[in-house]
This record gives sequence, C-alpha cells and structure tokens, in this order.
Amino acid sequence: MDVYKLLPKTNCKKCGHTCLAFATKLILREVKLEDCPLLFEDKYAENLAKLRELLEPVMDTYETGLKLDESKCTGCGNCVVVCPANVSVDPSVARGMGANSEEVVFRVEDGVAKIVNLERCRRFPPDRINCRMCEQYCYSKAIEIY
Amino acid sequence: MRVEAVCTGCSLLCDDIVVEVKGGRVKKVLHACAIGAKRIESALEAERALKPLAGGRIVSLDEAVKQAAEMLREARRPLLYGWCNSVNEAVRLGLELARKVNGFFDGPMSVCHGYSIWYARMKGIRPPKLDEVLDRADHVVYWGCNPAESHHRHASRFAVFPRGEKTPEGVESRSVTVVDVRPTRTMRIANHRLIIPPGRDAALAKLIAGELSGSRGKPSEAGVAEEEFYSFIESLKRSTYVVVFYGLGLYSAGERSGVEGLYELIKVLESSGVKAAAIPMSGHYNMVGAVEEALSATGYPYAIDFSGGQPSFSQEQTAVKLLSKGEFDVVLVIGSDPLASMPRQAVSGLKKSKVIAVDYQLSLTARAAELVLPAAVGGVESGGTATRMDGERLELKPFLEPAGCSRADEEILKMVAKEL
Ligand code: SF4
Ligand code: SF4
Ligand code: SF4
Ligand code: SF4
Repeated sequence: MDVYKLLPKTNCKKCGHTCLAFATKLILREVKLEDCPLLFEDKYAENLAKLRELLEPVMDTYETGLKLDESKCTGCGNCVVVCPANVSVDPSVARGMGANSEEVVFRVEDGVAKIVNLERCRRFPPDRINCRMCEQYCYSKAIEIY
Repeated sequence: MRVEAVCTGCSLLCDDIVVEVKGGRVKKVLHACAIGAKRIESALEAERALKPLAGGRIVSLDEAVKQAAEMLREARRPLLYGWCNSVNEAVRLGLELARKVNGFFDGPMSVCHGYSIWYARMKGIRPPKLDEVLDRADHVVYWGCNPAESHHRHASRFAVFPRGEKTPEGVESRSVTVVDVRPTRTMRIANHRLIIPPGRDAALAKLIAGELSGSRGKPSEAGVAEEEFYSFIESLKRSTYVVVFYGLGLYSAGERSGVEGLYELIKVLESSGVKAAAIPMSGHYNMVGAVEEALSATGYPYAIDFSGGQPSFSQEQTAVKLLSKGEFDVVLVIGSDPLASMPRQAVSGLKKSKVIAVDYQLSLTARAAELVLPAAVGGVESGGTATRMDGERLELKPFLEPAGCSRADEEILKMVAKEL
C-alpha cells in the first residue's frame, strides 16, 4: 500500500496496468520503476526517491527472518491467502482455498498455521523483496518479521 | 487416507477441508481454522455422548426412543428447541414432529439472526453468493460483527483476501470497513474503522444514506469520528460493489431498527448506482437452513406454535419468553445448550420441565436432562445438506462412522416419530 501511495495514481495506463496493479507488480519485481513514465516528471522526484528506497532489496537476506507464534494463531488463513509466494505455487490459494501444495510458505494444519517452506518467502533470494503482507494482515499478531 | 470434507464449525461451511483418516481416527485436519479443527476433533473427545441415558442410567437405544416418544405424547405442552446445528433434512423432520405432538418449534434463531434472515426473505431480497462477493465486491463492510473471533476464515476464504475476476489484487483491490462499538481484531485488516456508541447503528445507516443522497447530517448524530467517517464516505462513493456483513451488534438492546436501517441504506446505495447487498453473519452452521425450512413448511420463520393444530406465530412469543413463564412441561433440545446460554428466568423454567437432549456432547443441558439420545457429529459422522450464510446449499461429506451408539439427528427423529 505504501508503494501505491507514492505512485502518480492517475491510472493513465501508460505502464499497461492500473496504478494499483502496477504497485503490486513493482513489489513482485515484475515491472520496473522506469515502466511508469510519469514518475520521471519533476513533480514526482521526491516520490521516486522514496520508492527507490522502499524497493531496495533486503540487504543481507540472512539478517531477515519470520517467526510464527502458533499459540496466538487461530488458523484464520489470512497469511496463507495474502502471501504472494503461496499464490504462485498453488493457484487455488488465490481463490481463498487452503494450500494443498507442499511447496507453500504457510498452510493451516489442525487449526493453526505452520511454516512449511520458509525459503519460499519472497524476502529470501532470489526475490529479496521487503514484503510484510502476512505480518500486516495477521489478526492475532502471531507473525513477526525481523 | 485423505478425504475432502465440509466444515460445520460455523455458517461459512468451508468446503475445502482435507482430513487424513487412519483406522477410523483423524490424523490431521488441513485448512480448517481453530474452531473447525476443534469441532472435528470433538468427535473423539471425553465429553462425548456415546450411550443413551435415562435418569443418568445407561439404557438401550430402543428403550430411550420409546421413552422419548412417550414423554412427547403425554406432554401437555412440548417445546422442540434447537435446529441450528442440524441438517436441513433433520429440521424438516423436526417440523413434522412438532406438528404431530402439537408442540412449539423454536431455537436460538429467534433471539439471534432469525429475524434478519426472515426480514430479507419477506422483502424478497436474495443475498449474493459468497463466490460473487469474492469475484466482485470492492468494498466489504463488517458491521457489528467480529469475524476475527467468530468466523475466522471469512476474510481469507471469500470476502477480503482472495483474488477474483473484478478484484485481481485481492485485499488491495478492496476497501474494508469495520463498524463496531469498540476496537476489534477485525479492525486490523480494515482501511476504515468506525466506532460508534451502542445502539447508534440505525443512526449511522441513516447518516450514510443521507450523504449519498445529498442531505448532509452531522457525524456526531451517530457518535462517529468525523475524519474517519468522511474518509469512509469518500471510499464508499468510489466503490462499485458494496457488501455488508452484519452481526448481532445490530440488535443492541433487542432493537430491530439497526437491521431495518441497514437494508434501507442498501436500497439507497443501489439507487445511487452502486451494487450493494447485506448478508447476516449467522453463527451456528445451519441457522439459515433452519429458518428457510420452517418458512417453506409453515410460512413462519421460528417460534411456531402447533398447539392449535394449525401453525401460528407471534414475534413476541419466543421459546425464551414462554420458558420464563414456565409454559412447557417437556422440552426436546437438539444440538443446542440452552441451559448454558439462555437468560436466568428461562433457565429456571427449563429446569422445571423434563428435558430430552439430542446431542453429540454432554453439554450442561444434556447433563441435567431426563433423557439423552446420543447424536452423531454433523458433517463429521453424519451427512445431509446445510445452508451457508449466503443461502447456498451444501452437501456435507462425513468421513467417520458415528461413535458408540450415536446416530444421525434424522435417524433419531425418525425413530421417535415412528414410536408415536
Ligand atoms: S504509468 Fe504510472 S501513473 Fe500511469 S497508470 Fe502506470 S503507474 Fe500509474
Ligand atoms: S513476507 Fe514472505 S511469507 Fe510473508 S507474505 Fe511476504 S512473501 Fe509471504
Ligand atoms: S494470519 Fe496469523 S492468525 Fe491467521 S493463520 Fe496466519 S498466523 Fe494464524
Ligand atoms: S471459518 Fe467456520 S466453516 Fe470455515 S473452517 Fe472455520 S469454523 Fe469451519
């Protein structure tokens, strides 16, 4: 959402997307800042600088980590469905269903979320994105990214 | 063995559950939230009702059924209470049974969402299916409900996080608003948080409707913070498809004006060119089904009195009210625990009557009952159809054999009816 707020928000579609879709793609490294011509106009210089900072890859990936406190978790599945890495390995997750693939970052087992493959998290190589979606949308503050 | 299942932990009836079963035991439950997983595990719990009991003594199923039939036959004024945790087929049998014994048919729906389900049906309003909400709703409002505590997967399975046809970015394609009387956990996923004093729901609905139709009011009239309110209105005006999920918070102090005000607001939204709908967040897994079955059998939603032969209904005469007056001498309770949940006066009325409990667990009510008929766990050990909060009928997929002497609700009701 922070990335989106810094975009021109004109929905001019010069990048081929809406600003909102473009923001997500930026986070996922599917597009580059250069794909938005408006951003390079003078009035957006400050935004551009902030965006560059925001999208800077997590420097040393092994300084990052993700903790899940199972005792707080209610199995709501918000983390499962919001996680872009989960969606890309198991498309049914995009439709809100539980993750049947063994390749996902999280899935809910016996009523609580379990980390299945932490290395799939986009914070790690090759993506190294500063994603915090699961942490942000957990109802129970059970996820902590550090 | 891996099997698919439908969760009966709440009225969301999540149908993507996978259960690993080995030797008649559950090894692992995938995708169900904590409430759902607990319900599935409860089939194997110590509190489980496994044997028919008469006066605390273990009896044969035949004996218990005969005794139940006799109690109902000889009752001066029997109440048949529950139904929200039974499949549609069992509700239908319950209605027939109530007619046969000239009984009173009611359940938690009369003090819960029964009224709003009925109100919408009366007005000819059909809620959209949850899959449509997933695909199209770009503004989701949780009003007087807290799914983070009650319907854990509501946002992730359907309403907020999934990516749909018109909502390709999931949560980022939608605005989420929560209206409540205090900060709630659901507010953690919200863009707009409207906190109002208890009982101001109708006033807030009116205020929003006014903003949309050009007659401005004052946010203070509904006790809502100005800045938050106007940023919500801005976002509402940009929305194309608004779905309001509402909870019991709309009935504060037993008022119905909240529900009526909300449906008025839906009308105003629609006439301003926005698609809009409201769906009650009923709790028990088949409350919508119980009300719909009652409506189609009798034309009445709940609190149906068969004592005069023909069914009759009065909104003011609910089981809770009549129990408080000590009206019933025999009470059949199915899939409900009124002793634990009813107000004190009704409880004392209930304690004076003879209770037949049909349940899978030894609830407070079952422990105090004259007679216990052990039931199978719906959705786990017995099947049938249940109706989701949006009116969608789903076929349950049981995966265990009924434990001990337990039987499906339907089977128990059929046996009792046959003995009458
Ligand atoms: S080109 Fe830039 S401003 Fe235009 S839609 Fe794309 S991201 Fe938004
Ligand atoms: S931080 Fe990692 S695990 Fe969490 S949502 Fe992002 S990619 Fe998924
Ligand atoms: S979002 Fe939080 S509470 Fe929900 S399943 Fe994930 S860890 Fe558990
Ligand atoms: S949200 Fe309701 S239906 Fe879905 S898994 Fe949880 S208890 Fe079961």
